[in-house]
Amino acid sequence: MAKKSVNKFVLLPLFLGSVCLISGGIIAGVNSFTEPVIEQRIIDQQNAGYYKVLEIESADAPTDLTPSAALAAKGVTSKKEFKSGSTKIGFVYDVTVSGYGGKIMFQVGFKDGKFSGFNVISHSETPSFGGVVIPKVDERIKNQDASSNVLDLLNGTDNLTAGKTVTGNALVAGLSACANDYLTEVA
Amino acid sequence: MKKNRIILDGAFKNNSTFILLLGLCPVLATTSGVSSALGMGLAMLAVIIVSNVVVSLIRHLIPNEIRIPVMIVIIATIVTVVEMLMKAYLPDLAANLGVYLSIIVVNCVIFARAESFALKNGVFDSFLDAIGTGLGFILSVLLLALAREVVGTGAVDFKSFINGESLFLLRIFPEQYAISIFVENSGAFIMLGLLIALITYLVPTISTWNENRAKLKAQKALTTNIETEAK
Repeated sequence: MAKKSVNKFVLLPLFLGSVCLISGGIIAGVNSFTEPVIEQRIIDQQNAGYYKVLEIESADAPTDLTPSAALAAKGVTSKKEFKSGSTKIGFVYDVTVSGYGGKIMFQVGFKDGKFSGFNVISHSETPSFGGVVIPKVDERIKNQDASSNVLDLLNGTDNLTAGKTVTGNALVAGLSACANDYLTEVA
Repeated sequence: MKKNRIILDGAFKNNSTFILLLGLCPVLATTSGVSSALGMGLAMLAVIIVSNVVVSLIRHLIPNEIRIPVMIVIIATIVTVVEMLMKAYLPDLAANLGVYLSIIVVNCVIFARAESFALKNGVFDSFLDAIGTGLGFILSVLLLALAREVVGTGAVDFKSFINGESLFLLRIFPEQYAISIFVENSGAFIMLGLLIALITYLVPTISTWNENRAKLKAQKALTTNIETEAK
């Protein structure tokens, strides 16, 4: 009897452990060939997004500027300056902030002292709750002064409750940090 | 049990959405459009087929005491793999389904079929059961999505799974007469309730009609027999 219970005590976790190991192996195997595809897609989306948020057809190769430590702490992963010859066009920031359902990756562009556009790369927010603000960001901030209060811009006149959800707060923090950095750059 | 009976039972008699009322969260959340509903249905079909087959394959090896955690690990693995593949090759559909794709893990329909059928039956029967249940789920979400989209927008928009672009828009009636609440979350509850009410009314009515028809047929056959014997 005692031997049987000891066997169960050892064998059951061993069996479950083996199932977990096999599952982990399968997931790692699938991840090894899907991850490069996903990463490449994100890079392609980002490259197309730079022109979209600045509303330009073409420009010289952008200058990569290293975001400051304070900016990086706010989720800014890259900062690019776009020029055409000697004419400065604007800046685009790649940002990754933590939403409610995971990471929210987006790009925000600035030119002529204003927000020039917003492009979301990926997110997993609940579409009808926190995520309700995401598709409206571009139209709400576009051509608005970079020194404007981002929360007020996002809430708009119909009050999207951007400041009352984790998603909205994450976007406001990321966009405000980029706007402040841009204003410092052009000052 | 006859093989076709297994499929038909899973799809209609034990329909997970309208009869058993199981796994309603993704049903309500992903049926605002026909395309996203079909995507969810296909993802669910893939997961339930693989989970039923795997559980049935190893059913003699799984100790009874830990069958539940083992099945959870198996289902979670399959869902994670499906999610990774969708994110890599069908990114727009994956973005459209959002978190609801991940929560297939906790969909009680998949778990219920693994526990009540695949654990007790052979691989082929379990496969057929998964096909039936999965097709029943697809039919349910499509019916709900179609009803919501038509009433809520006045049209059906067929979108590509690959890039999310509209393939063609079938307008049923002018947009100004659409009741937009039906494409919102609250509308999903109302439409699901209406469809359940309709099905609850129709199923016994059809059964009674079938029974009466069978009785009438039997009576007719009996009368014909008596007439033949009398001649």
